[in-house]
Amino acid sequence: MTRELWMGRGARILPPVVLVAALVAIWGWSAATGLLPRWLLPGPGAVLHEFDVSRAVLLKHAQVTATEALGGCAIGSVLGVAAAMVMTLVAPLRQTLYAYALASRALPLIVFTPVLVIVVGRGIVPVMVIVSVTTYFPVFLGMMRGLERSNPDRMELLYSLSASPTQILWKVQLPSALPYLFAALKVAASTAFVNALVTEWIAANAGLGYLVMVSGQYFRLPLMWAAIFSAALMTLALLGLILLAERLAGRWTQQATEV
Amino acid sequence: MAQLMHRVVLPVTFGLAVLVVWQGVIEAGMVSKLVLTGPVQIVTALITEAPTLLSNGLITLTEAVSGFVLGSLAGLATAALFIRFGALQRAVFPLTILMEAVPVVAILPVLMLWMGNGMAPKIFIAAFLSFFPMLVNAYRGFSNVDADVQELMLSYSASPEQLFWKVRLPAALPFMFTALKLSACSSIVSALVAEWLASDQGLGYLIISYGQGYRVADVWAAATLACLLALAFYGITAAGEKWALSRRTR
Amino acid sequence: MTSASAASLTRADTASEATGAAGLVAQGVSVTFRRGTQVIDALKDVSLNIPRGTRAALIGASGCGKSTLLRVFADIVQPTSGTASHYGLTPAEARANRVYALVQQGSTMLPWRTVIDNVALGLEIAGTSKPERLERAAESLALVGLKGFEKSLPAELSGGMRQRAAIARALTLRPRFLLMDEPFGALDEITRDRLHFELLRILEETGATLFLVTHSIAEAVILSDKVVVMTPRPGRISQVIDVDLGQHRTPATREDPRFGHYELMLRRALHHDA
Ligand SMILES: Nc1ncnc2c1ncn2[C@@H]1O[C@H](COP(=O)(O)OP(=O)(O)O)[C@@H](O)[C@H]1O
Ligand SMILES: [Mg+2]
Repeated sequence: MTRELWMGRGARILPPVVLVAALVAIWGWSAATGLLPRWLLPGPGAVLHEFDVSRAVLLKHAQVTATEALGGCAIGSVLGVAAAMVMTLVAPLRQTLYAYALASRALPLIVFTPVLVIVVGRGIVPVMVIVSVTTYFPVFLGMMRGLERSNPDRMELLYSLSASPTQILWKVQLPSALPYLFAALKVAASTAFVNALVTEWIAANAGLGYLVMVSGQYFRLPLMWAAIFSAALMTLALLGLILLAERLAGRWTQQATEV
Repeated sequence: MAQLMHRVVLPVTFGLAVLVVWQGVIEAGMVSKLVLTGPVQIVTALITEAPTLLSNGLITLTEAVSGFVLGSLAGLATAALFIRFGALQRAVFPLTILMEAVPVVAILPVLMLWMGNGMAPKIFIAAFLSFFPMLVNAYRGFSNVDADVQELMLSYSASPEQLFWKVRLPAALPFMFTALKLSACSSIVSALVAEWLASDQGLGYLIISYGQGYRVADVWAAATLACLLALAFYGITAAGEKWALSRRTR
Repeated sequence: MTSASAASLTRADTASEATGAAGLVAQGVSVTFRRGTQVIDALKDVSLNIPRGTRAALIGASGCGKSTLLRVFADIVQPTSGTASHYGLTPAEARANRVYALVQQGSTMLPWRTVIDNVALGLEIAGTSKPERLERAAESLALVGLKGFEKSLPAELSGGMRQRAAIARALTLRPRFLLMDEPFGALDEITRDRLHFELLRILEETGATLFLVTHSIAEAVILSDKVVVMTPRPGRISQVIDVDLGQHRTPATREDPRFGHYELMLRRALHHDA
């Protein structure tokens, strides 16, 4: 049984691992043979080497980006969850604001960055604000949807026990909304770093996005790729963290085993 | 009647109130006009700058829509291949999920080294961002076929191609629209953002250059137009979904 | 028992004495649903009296308004006209004082809670202290034969066991009325048979009044003293049949010739209407 399980997992993990290894090998080979011009894409060795020699620079900029992305993501998520809960309890508020929140889904809010820069200046603040805002809306909408789609039979049961709206929110709606919340958080986590990087292009003088841009301008390609990989690694780390939290909250998110 | 009140009157009143208060704050001189501007000024800027805004908006839209179409088609084709050749799917699919975590837009500086600063890198990014949602969702849709229906087709000894065209493709339609709606948003955003970095045309470029000149009302006007374009693009996609799926349930 | 619910019971008793209301009463209840331009008469002028301590079944074809009538008593659906009452209390008062307990169609559970926390839910909402509500929930679980499954999750139970848990949850409130909406509908016949006699035993032990919605003729006969027959479009009561099979029933009751007689009577009543 366990052996089969393990083999199942092996069959799942092995092909992509082999593929990645093959891609890296091809990348290294074509860089070594000069098939791939060094000014286009340096070899894996060069990028790895860059991680070593530019460690200090990378760390400094990674710290800035991490602060912006994690801070913004946290602020946006907390506000999004809180707003969804308040709007669930206060109907007039929901009726007034929900339509705008729905429309915001399609809006490229990031284009307001220059406006922000004019108001608050360049630095960590405008980037964090943009990350918060772009996190807020998906988390809010996901949470709202989860709260709204709570199983009607469960709501009716609580109602028949004359539970108050707040009790219904805590005991039924909130646990039912957790899968939706985690789905939204995963989206937010993967966009938080991208949005931070991109916003840094025009709103900051530090951070990995800034580093990517500047090293591109100076044709320092290994550094540029090292910065990109650093951002990717941080994104994966954040995603991993959220997956871990989801697993820890497993009992509450077992919607698959819906009873 | 009460429904109308709740769904229309409240939000509209609120929206108007925000605009009025905002304009009032500006008119009262409570914040510097160098920093913030009012709705009236923004509308005026939208009108006076209309020719510039629209011609640049068209460029951004062209980049976004081209990337959207190319990326979605490629994603759909790849999903179909994955369905046909399971081994391919097992190898590549986990990678595609990994790719979603990679800040693809951030490699734009690299792309510009390769492709220059014209429309090509923007289209490429928009296509890239449209590719993965379509691949993932279409694949999920293709696999979403009822075991019963599959058994039925098997009992008719239908070929894999018949199964695909008659069952899988229609079953995947709702999933495909989910992807299209996502990509409609992200392709516009990515085109705009890509124009920030290096470009001498497009709405993204315009926003930056207005910003550098501290032309506050013009920045707002350009950003508003970007929002309107995005809303329209999303709206058309959503309307397409409604049309395609309503005909089915009837 | 908490002082609040004790007070409500006294109030219920005095109210019923004052008005002479017997138990579960509906007077001229009509419910009209509007779905777009469509108007559905789910209930039309329904009057009913289920005396206290009676086991009553409500039977009828699917869609004839059984759940709607039950929901009127549960204060979930408001009648378009007419009134409903429990011991002289309005459904709203009955709900607020937890005079009735509801067992829904399909045993609704909160899947993230253990069985005992599901069963203690009603007391938790009423604000009963944790030790007391866990003790009472454990008692109800023992009553339905689920001792030992306190810490399981609902997903780990079989359909029949979940149904018992739902009944235990209702019993934990020590209700005057058990309102059950097709509680055994999703179960296999073997499990259903066993649960029928468990329910009868529990009713004997607790003295609660039963109002059970079903679409099974045999279930209606074996479980009830009174069968209310409903006909659809508009939903109304066509017949009330008293089932005289004695207070105490066993599997042998089914072999009683009168059992077959009542079954036939009900079948005729239902088909005659159709
Ligand atoms: N909330 C509702 N809105 C509209 N129609 C409803 C609603 N609830 C029930 N109905 C309609 O009322 C009729 C009776 O429903 P119900 O009481 O659930 O029947 P039963 O429980 O006997 O199967 C049905 O035609 C049903 O479609
Ligand atoms: Mg029903």
